[in-house]
Amino acid sequence: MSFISVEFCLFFAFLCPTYYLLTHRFRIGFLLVASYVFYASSRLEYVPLILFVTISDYVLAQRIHSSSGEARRRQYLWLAVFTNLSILFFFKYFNFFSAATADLLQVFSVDYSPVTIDVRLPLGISFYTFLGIAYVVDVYRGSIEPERKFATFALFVAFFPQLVAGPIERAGQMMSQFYRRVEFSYADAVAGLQLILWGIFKKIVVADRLAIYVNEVYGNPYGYAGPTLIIATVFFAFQIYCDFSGYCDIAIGVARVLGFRLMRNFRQPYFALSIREFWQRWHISLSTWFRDYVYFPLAARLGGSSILGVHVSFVTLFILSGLWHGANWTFVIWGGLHGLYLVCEYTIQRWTLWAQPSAEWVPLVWSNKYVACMFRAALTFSLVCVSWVFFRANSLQDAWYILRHFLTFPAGSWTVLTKPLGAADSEFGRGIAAILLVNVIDGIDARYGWIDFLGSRPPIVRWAIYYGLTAGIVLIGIWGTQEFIYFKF
Amino acid sequence: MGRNTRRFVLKLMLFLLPVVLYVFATVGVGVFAGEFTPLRDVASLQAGNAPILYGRAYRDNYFAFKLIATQLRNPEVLVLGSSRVMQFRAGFLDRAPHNFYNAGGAIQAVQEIREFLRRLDQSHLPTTIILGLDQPWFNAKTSGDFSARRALNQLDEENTVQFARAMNVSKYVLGDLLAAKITLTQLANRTDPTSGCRAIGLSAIMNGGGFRNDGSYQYGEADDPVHQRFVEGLDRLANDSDHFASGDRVADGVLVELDAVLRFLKERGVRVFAFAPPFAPIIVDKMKQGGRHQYVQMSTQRLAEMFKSYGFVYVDAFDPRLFGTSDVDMVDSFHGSERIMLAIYKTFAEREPETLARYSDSKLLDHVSR
Repeated sequence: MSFISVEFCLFFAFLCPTYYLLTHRFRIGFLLVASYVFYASSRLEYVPLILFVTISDYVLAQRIHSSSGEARRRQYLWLAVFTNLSILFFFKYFNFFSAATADLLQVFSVDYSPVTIDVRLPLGISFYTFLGIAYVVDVYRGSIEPERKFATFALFVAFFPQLVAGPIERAGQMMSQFYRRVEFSYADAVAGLQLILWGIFKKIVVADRLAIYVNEVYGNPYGYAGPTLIIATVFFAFQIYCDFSGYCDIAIGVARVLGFRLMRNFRQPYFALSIREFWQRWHISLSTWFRDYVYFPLAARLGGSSILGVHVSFVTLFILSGLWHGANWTFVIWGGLHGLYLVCEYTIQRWTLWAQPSAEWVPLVWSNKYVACMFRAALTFSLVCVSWVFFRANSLQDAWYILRHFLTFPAGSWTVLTKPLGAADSEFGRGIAAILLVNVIDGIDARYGWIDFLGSRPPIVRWAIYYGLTAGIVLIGIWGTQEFIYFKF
Repeated sequence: MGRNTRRFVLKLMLFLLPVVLYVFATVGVGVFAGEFTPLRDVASLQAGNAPILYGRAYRDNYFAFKLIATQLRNPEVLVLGSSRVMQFRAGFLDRAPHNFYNAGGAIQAVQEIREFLRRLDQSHLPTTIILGLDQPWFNAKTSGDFSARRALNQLDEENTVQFARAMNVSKYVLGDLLAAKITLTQLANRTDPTSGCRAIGLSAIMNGGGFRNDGSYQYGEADDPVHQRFVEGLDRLANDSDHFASGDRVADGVLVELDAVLRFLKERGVRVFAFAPPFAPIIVDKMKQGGRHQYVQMSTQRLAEMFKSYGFVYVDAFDPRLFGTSDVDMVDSFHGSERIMLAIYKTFAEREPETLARYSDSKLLDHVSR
């Protein structure tokens, strides 16, 4: 069940009033059942899998907590991590590593035909296994107590707004919310709906519009020259941003209507002045997950703050992050590239004492460092775009072709920019306008906070904005078959 | 319910009311006109005797529709190809019109022929297929633009995304209502304005544009004067785009695909009559003078050899003057009229009378074409 569907509207329209009409003690059970119904509506056969992961993490966390010896605690921890990762490996990576092994053996002239399994990737598996790992590690570290009530823990894993594509919440932040007595809050409900509306707009009006161009060019990049390839890549940068952040806004909004606060997953990533800052603004729940559960332990093992240790940790971390996104070499290179960016950035900063720029910079507001900040933001954005080529390309060959032809400008190549859209060439201008609008709203969000900004406007302005966004969705939205991109991960 | 809750619910309803009304009204127009009528239902209705014109306004669903209709009818003679073959009529087969179906418009790439045939009941494949092979499919420069993806998406879409389709129809209906392209009196009648028969879909109701029972296409709107029919095609030729793009090489991969299709049909005993569809003579002359469309001649030669090797008939109708027709007989720059299709059909019947004689009386064809 997609967030943008009649089914979900009906589901939420039933769930919301029922939830508030129930007394507090029935609410966890009700939300749990609703979350499983939500999950089962996509594919029933994967319900036992999420149930198994839930039971396994629940039991092992209890064991970690109740065991007295460190060795035993550690064994349970590794068992839990192993269980989560093996499930993820089996469903997501088995075929990839099997093929990679065959390729590797071929280098040594060993003939091995790869074993493959024909299985569909269970929805949300990358998210709920990582959520489970974070939980058992936190229990092991003593940061949190294990949850005693199974239903509450099961709800934490399967809570429907965040189940399919995050944000990857931490138990420390969520569990207490499940126990809090929630009364209907007018302000939360309005803020939640504002987020939902903006999220749908970003997905339907911006992301899916840009996708038309991107799909056409990346589907067959060999027919296009530099200008078209560059524009398709910039469009993709905003497509994936609006797609994923749109999804997260809807998820956060839905949770907020029910009285829950999910963590923010995006904070104007393309305003970042460095790659490091980009990762503090992009898919924040995943970045902080990797930071807390991979980078810190890895860097500590590789020599604390030694330069080599930091560099190896960066690259390893981002290769893993790339693999998390998909079992394909293109994702591995995308991740590795970001690791290299960070190594270079780290090195340049050490040598040149080029200070970390102010994170307070906002493109809409003039300051004395405006030009320098603009330059750095553009540089960061360009580097990110280069990496997006690998993320979006269908193969390494395609990615390589696109990169090699980025700077080729044969005669007439500037006059055929709308060619990928065929007869629908007016969508080109709309796509650019949509990108500008997103940047303006991001600017407002960075400066005032989007929800606060809306709240401080007179009702007539607020309603005009609501109707403007709704009219955009209904009248110029691209209503097609585009799934949310992060459903694939 | 607390005061705050009541306030919230009331405001939410107030906000949603115009949106819901708008969506219901516009989608309602689409539903009433038959834009959402399941393809299987339309195909079943058209398989009956009553003439029904079917033409959606807002979605090209030709692959899905023609496939479902063909699956339902299992015709002996099937026309397969792009919009350029849609003027073959059941009437050409005067001895057995019910054995005919025109699946023209379904195919936009050689890859889609395979997908179409693969989905038919293999025990009831047509005995004869008339295959239109658009020249641009074989142009190495543009062949990458063609794949079976479009067709497969259509099948998925027909089966799944009703909500998305409803929203799409909703926004177009509003525009067309405002532009007076949809009038309520015509909508209320739900008949083909040209023939008065029952019509399903907004294009059929408003313009008389749609598929007839035999699968052929009725263009509906009055013909443009001859000099205006080719303006768009000449523009596209000048812009080197779409069907008119230049090229000096043949796409070998596409020929391999086609070879596999022919082998498949040969093994199953299906007779194939293929042709290269016509361009308007004015376009043909420009292409020849420009000297930048060598792929047309080259692909025709290769296709003729390929069809010969399978013992199938192949006719080059690139220049319709060879069939005694002229610009007047073209619907536009690259769509021939029924008269041209009849001339091509007659050529098939002459080249292999033993197959087509049981369907058509050649004397009658002569008479009609005159």
